[in-house]
Amino acid sequence: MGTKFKDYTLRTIKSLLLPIMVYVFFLIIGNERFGSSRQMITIARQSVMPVLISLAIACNMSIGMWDFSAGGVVAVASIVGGNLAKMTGTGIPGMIIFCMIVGVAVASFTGLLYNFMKVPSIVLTIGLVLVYETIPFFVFGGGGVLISGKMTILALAPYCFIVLAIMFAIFYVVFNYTPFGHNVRALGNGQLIARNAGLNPGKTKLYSFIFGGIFLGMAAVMNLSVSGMIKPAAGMASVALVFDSMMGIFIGLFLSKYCNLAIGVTIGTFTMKMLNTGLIAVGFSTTIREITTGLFLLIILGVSSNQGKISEWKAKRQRAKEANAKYAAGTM
Amino acid sequence: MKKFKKSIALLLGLIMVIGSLAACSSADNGSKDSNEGNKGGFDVVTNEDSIYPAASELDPYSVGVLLWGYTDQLGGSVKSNLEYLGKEFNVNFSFVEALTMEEYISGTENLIQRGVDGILSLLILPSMIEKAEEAGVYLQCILNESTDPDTLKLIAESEYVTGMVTENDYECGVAMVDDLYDRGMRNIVWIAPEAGMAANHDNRVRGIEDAIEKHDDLNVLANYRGTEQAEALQSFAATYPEMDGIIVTGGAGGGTESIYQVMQSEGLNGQAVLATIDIGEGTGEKLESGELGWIAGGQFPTTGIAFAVLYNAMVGTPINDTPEKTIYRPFMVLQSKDNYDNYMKFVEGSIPPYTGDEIKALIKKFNPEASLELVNEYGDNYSIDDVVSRHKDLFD
Amino acid sequence: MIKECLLETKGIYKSFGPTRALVDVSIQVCRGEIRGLIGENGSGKSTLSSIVAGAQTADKGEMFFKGEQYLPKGNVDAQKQGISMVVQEMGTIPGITVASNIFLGNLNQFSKSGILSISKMNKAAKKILTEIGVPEINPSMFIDKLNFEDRKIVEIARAMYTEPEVLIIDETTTALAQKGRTLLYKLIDKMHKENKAVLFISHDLDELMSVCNNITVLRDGNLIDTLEKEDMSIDKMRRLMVGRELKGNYYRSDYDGSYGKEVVLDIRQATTGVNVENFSLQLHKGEILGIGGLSDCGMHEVGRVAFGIDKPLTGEVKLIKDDVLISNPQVAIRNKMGYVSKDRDKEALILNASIKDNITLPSLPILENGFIITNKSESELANQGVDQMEIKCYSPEQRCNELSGGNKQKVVFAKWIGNGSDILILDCPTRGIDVGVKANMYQLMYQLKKEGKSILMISEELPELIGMSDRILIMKDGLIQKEFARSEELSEQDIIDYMI
Repeated sequence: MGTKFKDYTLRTIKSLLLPIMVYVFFLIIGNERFGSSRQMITIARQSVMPVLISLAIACNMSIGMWDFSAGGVVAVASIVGGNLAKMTGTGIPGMIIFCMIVGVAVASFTGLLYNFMKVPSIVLTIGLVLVYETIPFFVFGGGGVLISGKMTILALAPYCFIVLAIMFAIFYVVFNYTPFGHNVRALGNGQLIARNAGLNPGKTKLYSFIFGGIFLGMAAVMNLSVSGMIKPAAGMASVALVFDSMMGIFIGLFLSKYCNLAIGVTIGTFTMKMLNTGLIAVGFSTTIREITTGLFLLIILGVSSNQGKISEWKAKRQRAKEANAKYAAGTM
Repeated sequence: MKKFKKSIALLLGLIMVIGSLAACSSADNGSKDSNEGNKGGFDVVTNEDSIYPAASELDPYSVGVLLWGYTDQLGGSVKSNLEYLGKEFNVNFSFVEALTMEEYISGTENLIQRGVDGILSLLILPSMIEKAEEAGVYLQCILNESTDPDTLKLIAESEYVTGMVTENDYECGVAMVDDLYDRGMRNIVWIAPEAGMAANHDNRVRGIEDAIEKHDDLNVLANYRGTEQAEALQSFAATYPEMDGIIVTGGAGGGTESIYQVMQSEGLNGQAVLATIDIGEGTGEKLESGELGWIAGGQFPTTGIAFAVLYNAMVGTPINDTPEKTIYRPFMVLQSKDNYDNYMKFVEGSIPPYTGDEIKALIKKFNPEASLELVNEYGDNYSIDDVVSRHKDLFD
Repeated sequence: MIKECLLETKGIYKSFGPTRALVDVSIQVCRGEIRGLIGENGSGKSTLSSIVAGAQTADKGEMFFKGEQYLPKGNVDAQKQGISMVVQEMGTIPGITVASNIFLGNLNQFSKSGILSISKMNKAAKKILTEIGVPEINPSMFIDKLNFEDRKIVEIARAMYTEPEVLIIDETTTALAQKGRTLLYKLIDKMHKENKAVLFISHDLDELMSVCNNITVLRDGNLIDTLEKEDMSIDKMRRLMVGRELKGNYYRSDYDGSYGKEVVLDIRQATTGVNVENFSLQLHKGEILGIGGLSDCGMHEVGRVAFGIDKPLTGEVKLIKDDVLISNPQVAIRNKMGYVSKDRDKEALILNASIKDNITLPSLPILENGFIITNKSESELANQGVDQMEIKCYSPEQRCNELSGGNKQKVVFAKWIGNGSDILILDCPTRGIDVGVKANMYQLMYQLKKEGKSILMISEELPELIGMSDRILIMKDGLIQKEFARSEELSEQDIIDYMI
């Protein structure tokens, strides 16, 4: 029990080390403009939608599938779901239901197409971005969607956190405590062996898209709540949403050695948002902020990929030293 | 397997239901105070005492239009305005969407093949000029300008490029800063799309930066250039509690509405004043409450002026000897609820801000006194009060 | 006593394109039988076992299990009906727990209302692991933390948890060390006592003879004979497998262990990250230098250092003739060295590439004419390799992953011979290969020695070392314990004491 607790504590510390370091760093250099509770709450609120998208993408990425169309799904779900809610006068519950139905429906379409066409996911989903971005131009007069007043309440604390907590719990339970979640991980780590063990890769991948669609639908609800108005956008503008979430996923994968993927992704997204706010506090311009953020990510990924190399190098040096000493002493 | 197939069938059914619901929905997106541009079209203003020829008396012409799209607010209003002028001038307009340079060039080719006499285009590119000259088709730039020296040289030398008419984005940027400063705001932030994305936003930013330089006691707390404008404002609000002025040049996916959302959720209403561009939903209330101090918009009538310059060339009475020099027009600036109400009635209402006769007055063939100076005079006078004074009788 | 027939195949046919893998194979396996299945690579034994295990379907023929017609839809279905298989290749999935691996594809039995009971699953896994004799393996542990052997044992647990009536073991023992083999033999014995059956596939004829009641021999897809215990002998089995007398000795026939005086490769004071410290050896021209020992004695690391794959932390590896330091494989290849890795599928061959591409790969600089490498020159070299090594394939364009193990090894050899390698480092060169091909390999090695080539042969098989080497170095704990010269009197017993 003692060892288990110690191991657990150590892993928790390692998981939280990165955001703590970022926080402390900007607390020191932020000219007293960083670190307030209001700011942390704002950062947490800003993290909700990207985390939801990250969870959707992370599930697919576990099985080796990229999904660049996630942003497009969110865009379609926001506009169609939001307008349907307004049309039916169903308010927030209607918005949630319709956005999630549309999110699941569109994501399922991606999954069905993937199984049917058997093209690489990266190719398919980039192509579908163009399709999904066009859909809003043809529905509801092409004017997008506008909500206001009480319908935007989910953007505020604590409602946004309640939403995140519920969705996070769903992901955590499904990914770790259901046969589907185990099958996803099995397929992701050994497709051939899993297939021979009776798993159906096509079915599992489709379910993965559908499952991701639930989170994209909720991300659409948050997107609407925060912005109030969503206009159709073309030219792969929605891919920007995906890239933001990807950063969280990369850090999440780096942290998954110490903690569950869902937790890692959440920490990763929050850390990136905190970094951005910290850079604003320091007074960096947009360009410098973007360069810094990119460099930060590169450093994290570089450290992650080369972890252990330093200790490995040290161990090798030590071994060489001992061997040379033995040889010189003629103790062979 | 049966269960799986049933699930797929249910899913596909769901997709079809939602698709048909969405597709069959009404054009109205459900908002009450929709300001989608005058997509209903402008009424033809019949003036029996008109000294200008009626449409039926005019030779028919065909004009092509190249723009980013016609379903958004500004694009829709541009289309409505030109369709109205088409009725007044016996001109048939062909509207073509173009986003990339290649689409502008291929759009020009297609319009020429369709036999247009002139083209109104957001972009002017050297290859477009070449094709227009080969075909003897006139080319007029609208809502934009070219600053490339080589292109300007080609424009100057060309017989077929009639000019460039656009809002003065630089002055707009200056005005936004000056207005906030005059209101006593001293700690501002400004937000714009990425540099290089659109020349008009870049010009607005230049104006903002130059105006800031003029005021030594004006403190720029932060700025942001990108698409995540609402999020940036959230971060600014959390980091700079002393922020009292916000400038947004526009260009975000959620439009000005997302900025209003953030101001509300961050409790900035009453603390900071916004200066922005693109009049839209909720502008009136925002002006009334004071959270919005300055807003510019009403760009679409500029296309009427541009059309006038083009039409002059098409009928053989060109009025612009210096097409390489941009004809600047001001934005319509609103600073009160009354301004907004008048704007909705007199600019976005059933009668366009420039009637057919008012545009015909710029055509030298119909009015020997028409000239570039008169065009500039129209621009100098342009304001909400100007439109009200010219058209209030038409609404009686 | 009339034995009850548990499993029967009648007239099984299976083809892969033009290759006939099984031709009218009919066998009967009764209760209590431990049936060995042997044959050269490509004889059809793995195909037969995979059809029985449900991994493939036969083109023609019938199968019966416990008297009823048997038509498994897949591995899982076969396992549910009572036939399980453990394969040679890695069959566990990293990144998930031991318990998840055991119950892969059958997790629903532990779920209620869609939620998986991890504790129930772990408990069930613990029970199985204890039953098969490995209670120390923690079912909640991620399988990555286990070594290769323990992972194989988890696979065995997966095969056993459904309490199969027939267990198929397909060349699994090559992946197991002593612990794993002992466990497996115990399980086989248990199956025998419980009146169940085992189909045991192995190339280790001694092992088969000691474990099995009877042995079925396949050759070129045909069933040749089934030998009862009293009829079994190594020579007979070999003869039936190959279809001819293995003329002369299996290994080289001479006991002349001479070699050239010239030292071609000098390893001096080499130390690696693990296992090897201050190691030195010299390889001579025309010499077959054998290195033997237990699996972790460091001999495999010596091979990697000699070829430049691993850089030594101390010391150096030098080619004497041109005074070249071997710092990486590119330098080694440029200086006419070749390396046959123990891990054939991962390190020696590009499985998705063609035979031609694999054979010509190290020789591309030689084939280059200006900046061009012509198809003709590549094809010529590839055809030469295929002919010389007698690789069974339909064309050099055939992909390597479609070849049998022996033919894959032949491709590896052809690669280095085609490159004109003067020094060959062979790490377990005949592992997983049938006797016929092994004999060919040994003849080839002897021929190369006669041509003045030098061979550093690393092997875990003492008979092979004794049979082929001019000198044998026995390693233990990274050091040379003893050197043996080639001699007719040299026996495994002489050597084994220095290994353990």
